[in-house]
Formats: sequence, structure tokens, C-alpha cells
Amino acid sequence: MSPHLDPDSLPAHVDRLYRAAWALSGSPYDAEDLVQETFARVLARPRLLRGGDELAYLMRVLRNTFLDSLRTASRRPQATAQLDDLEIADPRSSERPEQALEARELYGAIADLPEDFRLALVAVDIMGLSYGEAGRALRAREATITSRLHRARRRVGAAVDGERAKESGGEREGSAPPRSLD
Amino acid sequence: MGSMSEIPDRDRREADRERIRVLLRAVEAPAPAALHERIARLATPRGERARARRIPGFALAGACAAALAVVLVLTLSGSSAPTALGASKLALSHAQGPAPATLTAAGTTIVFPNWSSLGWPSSGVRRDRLDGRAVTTEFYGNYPGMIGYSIVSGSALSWGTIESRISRSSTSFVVLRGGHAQVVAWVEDGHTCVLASRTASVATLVRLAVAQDATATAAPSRPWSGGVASPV
Repeated sequence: MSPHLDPDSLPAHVDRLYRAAWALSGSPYDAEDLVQETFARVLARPRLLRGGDELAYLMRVLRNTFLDSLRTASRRPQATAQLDDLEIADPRSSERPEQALEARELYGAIADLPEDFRLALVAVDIMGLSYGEAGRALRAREATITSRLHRARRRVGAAVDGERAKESGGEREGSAPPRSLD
Repeated sequence: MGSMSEIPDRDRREADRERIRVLLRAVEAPAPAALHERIARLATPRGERARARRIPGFALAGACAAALAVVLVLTLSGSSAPTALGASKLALSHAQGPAPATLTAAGTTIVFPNWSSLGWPSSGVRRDRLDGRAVTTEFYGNYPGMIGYSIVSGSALSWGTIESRISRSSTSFVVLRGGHAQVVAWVEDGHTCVLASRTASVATLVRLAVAQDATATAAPSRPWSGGVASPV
């Protein structure tokens, strides 16, 4: 394997990275920016891979980009939340509305996890890294990744169950308030 | 006993893992085509830049050629009719100097917004002429995440190739086919405004443009508009 990151091979990872970014940020729009910023960083200069594959490296850069974006966001005033509420036309939701709804639910549940749990789940279950690779990408011990991953999966499962219970309860009783997608 | 419940058995862990995998597979969707295109464009010139770095003379020649190309494009477009898409090349170029605290676009009364609180601090300014019109450009953010905002004096320009239209806050934005960049344009006070970026998404550009609009609405007197118009 070439020790250098091959720019030509990177576009093949866009889909996977986009899903990971969506789960990290909880927003498909922020995910687009996050992925683009990640690739811009990676492509800014030649990169040397040291014993890891491209996906693990991309996960590490995505994590750093994401954490930087959180730090930036924390300096923003509350008005930013109002900006995020703006309804921008999303071609994805018009193509497959049910899937778009489920994706928002699921990625939203992942995005609600504590940061360490979220990163572990994204690295292993979405990016497809092994526990060892995830540990290196996230700078954590493999056993720590295993533990965080298990708790993350349980919490996400419970959150999805809770959402669905609320939905079915609302349908039966007809009294539940309409659920916000965001 | 409480600690025992914290340690699940292998079957339970496997069930949890399988469940998450099934859930994720069910919503597995590709990234938007526009994002794929942007990443492909980011990746393509990478090799060219690397080759240019290996031969410094060529790098200099390349930079000169790029600068000449911008001049030629602007000159040529000036010989017919300049477009908002043509003006976006200035928004995608580089700053000539630091931006002042407040900046009024030359030939207009439009004051550039301060997006520092939105995570996009001002990073520079440039002033050009396009077919005799003054063009003031303020840059926000820093490489690689940079946005250029150009305001062209005079009557509104034609757009260029329109990709789509978006209406927000009673303003009609056009998304232009910008080749290697995202370009959003609109008309304000009769002048053409262009936001362009190689990294920020169209959604981000529109959000910022709307944020500017909201600020203007919240402060209709525009207390900052007393700034001196910048000479070109």
C-alpha cells in the first residue's frame, strides 16, 4: 500500500463520510460542510499515512474538524440556532420522505449521545473501522472503545424505541403534539 | 448487583450491535450529488498544485497565468456584458489588504455585514473594476474555509448560468453554476451581490445572506452605514 494518501481515491469515501458527519452533527446540512471542510484539510497538502488506512485517517480528520466546529459554534450567539432553523429545500426528503424521516431520527439519536460515545459509534458502525483502528483514530484504548460503543448502541436503541413508542401512542390517542423533525 | 447489570452478556451485545447495523442500513443514503461534485473538484486540482510545487518556476508561471486569466476573463466579459458569475471570480480570488472595521461597498450604500459572531470573521478586502463598475469584495474566514462577498456598483447584472433559485425572507437568491465553487447571488438596493466559496455549501451561503438581511431588518436605520464609501 502506498504510504501517501491518494487524492484520487478519496471521493470514493464521500458517502460514508457524509453519513458519519450527519450522525456527528445531527444535521444533513452541517454534514455537507463538515465533509467538505474535512476533504479541504486533507487535500491542502500531501499527507503521509503511518500504518493506518485511508478510512481511519479520514475519521481522525473528521473528528478534529468536528471538534473544531463545536469550539467555533460555542462562541456563536444564540442567533445561530435560528439560522439553523431556516428551511432550505432538501432534495433528499422529496425523493424518499420516509427514509429521510428515519434517517433524521436515527442520526439525531446518535448526535444526542455524549461526544465520546458518539465518536465511537460513528467510527465503528458507520465508518466501518475495527475496534483497534477506531481506538487509534480517536486516541483511545481498544477496551475503552468497546465499552463506549456498547453503551452508545444501547442508548441509541432506547432512543429510537422511545420515539416510536411516542409515535404509536400519539396515533392511538390522537392527542400527542406533532413531532418536530429537527 | 448493580454492577452486574452494567456488564451485558455476549448475546445482548451482539443483539445491540446487530440492531444498530440494521437501523443504519435502513437509512443508508448516498451523499448529495452536489457534495460529490464539490469534493471531486477539490481533489482534481490537487495533483496540479503538487506538480507546480515541485517546479517553483512553473509555480510562478502558473500563478501569473491564473492572474492573467482572471484579468482576461474580466476584460473579455467587460467587452460584452459582465455577469454576476463573472463577478464571482473576484469573490473567489484573494484579499489585497486587511478589512476595516466597517466597509461600505464603493458606489453603493451597502455596508458589508460582520459575520464574526457566526463563525466567519472578516479576513481581508479587495477593490476592482468590472466593465467600469466598482466592485468591492470582503473575505470571511481563512483558508481553506473562506467565503468572498462581492458587491458590484451600478444597475443589476445579468446572472450567468443559473442552477437553481431559492426564496428566503422575501429575497430571491440564484445559485449559479460556478465550476469549482458555490456561487449565490441576489440584488440589493439595485446592486448585484455575490457570495462565493470553494468550501462552504450553498446552504451556508444562503444562511449568511439571510442573516445579513435579518440584521438589516432588525436595525432599519443601519447605524453603521455612515462609513465612508471606499475608493476604488
